[in-house]
Amino acid sequence: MLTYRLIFKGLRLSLEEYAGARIAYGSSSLCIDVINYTGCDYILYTHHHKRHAPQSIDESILDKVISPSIGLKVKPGDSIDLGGVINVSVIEAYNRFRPQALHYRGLGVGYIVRFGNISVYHMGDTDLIEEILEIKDRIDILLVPIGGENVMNAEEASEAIKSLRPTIAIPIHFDNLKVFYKFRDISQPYTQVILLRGKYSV
Amino acid sequence: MYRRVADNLRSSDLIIPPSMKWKSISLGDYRRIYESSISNFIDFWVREALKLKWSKLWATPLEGSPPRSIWFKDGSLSPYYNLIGKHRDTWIWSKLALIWEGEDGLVKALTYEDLDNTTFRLSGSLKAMGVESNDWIIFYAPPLIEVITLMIASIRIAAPFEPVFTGFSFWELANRISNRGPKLIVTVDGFYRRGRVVDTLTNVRRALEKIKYNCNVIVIERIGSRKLTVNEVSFDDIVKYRNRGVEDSIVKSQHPLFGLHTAYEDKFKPITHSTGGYLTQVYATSRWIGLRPHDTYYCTVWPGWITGVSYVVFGPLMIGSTILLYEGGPDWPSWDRWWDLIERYAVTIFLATGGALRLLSKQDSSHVRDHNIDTLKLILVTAEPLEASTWRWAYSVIGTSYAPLIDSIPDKLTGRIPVVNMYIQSELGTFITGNLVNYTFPPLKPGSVGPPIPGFNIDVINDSSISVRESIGRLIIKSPWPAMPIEFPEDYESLWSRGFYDTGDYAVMDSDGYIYVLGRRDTVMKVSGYRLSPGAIEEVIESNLHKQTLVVGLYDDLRFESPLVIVEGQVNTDDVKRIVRDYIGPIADPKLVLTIKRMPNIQKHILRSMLKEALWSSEGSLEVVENVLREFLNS
Repeated sequence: MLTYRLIFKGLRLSLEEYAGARIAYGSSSLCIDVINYTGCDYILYTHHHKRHAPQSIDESILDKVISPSIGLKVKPGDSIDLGGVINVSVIEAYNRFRPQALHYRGLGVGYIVRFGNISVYHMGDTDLIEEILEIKDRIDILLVPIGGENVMNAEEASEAIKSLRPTIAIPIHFDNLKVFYKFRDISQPYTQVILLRGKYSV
Repeated sequence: MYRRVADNLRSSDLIIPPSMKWKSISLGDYRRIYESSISNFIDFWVREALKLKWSKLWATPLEGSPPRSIWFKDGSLSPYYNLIGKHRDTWIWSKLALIWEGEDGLVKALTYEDLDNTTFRLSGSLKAMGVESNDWIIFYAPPLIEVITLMIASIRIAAPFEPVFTGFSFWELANRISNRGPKLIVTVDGFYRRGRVVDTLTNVRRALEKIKYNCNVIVIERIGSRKLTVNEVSFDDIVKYRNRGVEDSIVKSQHPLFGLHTAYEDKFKPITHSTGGYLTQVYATSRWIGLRPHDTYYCTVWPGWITGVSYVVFGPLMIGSTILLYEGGPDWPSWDRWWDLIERYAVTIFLATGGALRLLSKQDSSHVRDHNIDTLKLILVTAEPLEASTWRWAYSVIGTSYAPLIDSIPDKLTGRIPVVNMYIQSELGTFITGNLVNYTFPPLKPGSVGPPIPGFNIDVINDSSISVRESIGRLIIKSPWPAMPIEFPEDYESLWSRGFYDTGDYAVMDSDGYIYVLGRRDTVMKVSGYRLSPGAIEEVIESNLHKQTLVVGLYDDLRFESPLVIVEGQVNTDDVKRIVRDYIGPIADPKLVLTIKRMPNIQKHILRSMLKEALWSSEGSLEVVENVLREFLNS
């Protein structure tokens, strides 16, 4: 079995669990939506749903946690410096046009994390909302949910790609590979799609 | 045997893949474009040369007679600018240039801008290590991102480089070091192949020890477990030097850019390619074969062979494509690893050898069909004859997508995209035949290497130098081409002795001008697409066992040819195989080792030719071969 991990511009990134990413930069490690947070210096959660965050968390590590609901509580528009080299911008993430939205506005967020000049955008559980289309930052790596239902579907995610033009797009938050194929085939001309998992993944 | 090869290749079908339905041209249109290109080939190639950026143009485009012709003499240009620098201030600058995946799942990626920054620093490091313009650098490593960046850094300072295929062992590496006299060697502490570590560093140390050669060695630490010795410096350390970079070199057109050792009958010998002529030809053919900036391109041939140099290091980067590099082979963890890569990285163009496709076609096709590789738009094939049956397998099994395209029928594996077999040689620098997705695309003929590419004046002639169609003859090139070698051995010179370049291959040209390559006319071997020298194999066996030895290529259904080794006197055949593997490399593994009491007292090159003729005019099992051989030697 293989462990896929990406080294890009000094970052080391691997996917964990359903929609999580562990990112190492210099001597720091930052985790987003990683349930098994052992070894993470900074622990970011986009929202508290069980595929994204542990349902109980050790109080002793709360000072490392950043999320809309526990630890350092953040809201869209916030900007936080971590250890002098990492900056986190908090971005809106919610469902639109859904009568009983699972991810209603105010529940969750996305994060643009800048490691020096390098930016990683974890979009959280979101639809393609106006606030995303307004982002002007250069995005090096986009962690993009594509599964549909309560997040963007392949077509919406592809529209996000066309707007953000990330150098690398790594799809997350999907079960069915057919969704990945659709996303890949319509997004690839506007970015480099990399599926950082596969049949040989650990 | 040549007739049998021809029969396997020929097919009466004309194919226009659905994806090319409105892009293909008629044979008549192709003919007009081609005839026009070769009727004034100098003007044709001048137009292509002007697509590069020159600091100073040449006075006359072609000087001297072949093989000593010089293209664009005294014109000057920056090879680095024409490779990478020209993409600055375009959208290509921020896109990925290189993606590399290790066998263990480690992935590295680099944008064009990153490539520029890294090679700028590395060029300073190379200068700090004493490497100057004209100093050779030898690479003995798989295509890691670090390897490609160091090659480009050497181009930046006008230091020519030679990549040596890691399938060659220390002995052949030592010969290449001895011939080039490099200022620097680049290697890796090891790399993974089928889960095991290939020990490249020890081969470098043994090679240097064998010839008592002393130079700096940059070691890329892929495995990270080796202690470096004096003269060895780790890649990570030279990146950290933070030396000031140097201005991109501007060189004359005839400045050496890179070199390779290529197989002749008695040994491997060096040839060197120029800057201006070679870059003109590789840029033109890379565009024509179908590469575009939006493409993600995976070539399974490593630099170390001409296809890997021209269509990994140079062409795709000049276009601005993204290149996927992979450390291992197609069969680990299982036979679907290449399809897994194409699926996961959205590869659009795939290039492999005919030998690799033949091997893959013998596996269960579910290895391919279990993956969705619908992003593929083109399959390119290189290095050897590709029989119609393997072409059909590639066309229908790899080339049919799950989503239908125009009139393709996925469930019936009707095929969708072109499978284009092309002809190349180290001496030629680039592909010179084939259907061109972005230029001249007449219908495909399975089994052929297509018609000549415009600009290359190609013919098939008989022994009286008369053009022949529909019968076996010599494949020749009648006019100089821009990427002609500027340094070469006498063997190459003698191939020009009749006023044209004789490729050394037999071929059939059909009445439409399509070419079917049948294999070497001389005794140089084509093993799994790689040219091997029988004389080099004989030499290592003789120097180790002190026995007279003869090596001839035996027709092989899978590898096209494989070495037959005949040794005088009693030897342990396993010892012979071990020596070939240790001293030449695993790619030269003999298919058969035979012993005879006494080697006929005939000059070796004559004996090899006679024996090859006897073997290739017979067909059958190894027992039949043995009988032919014994009859031949007894007579």
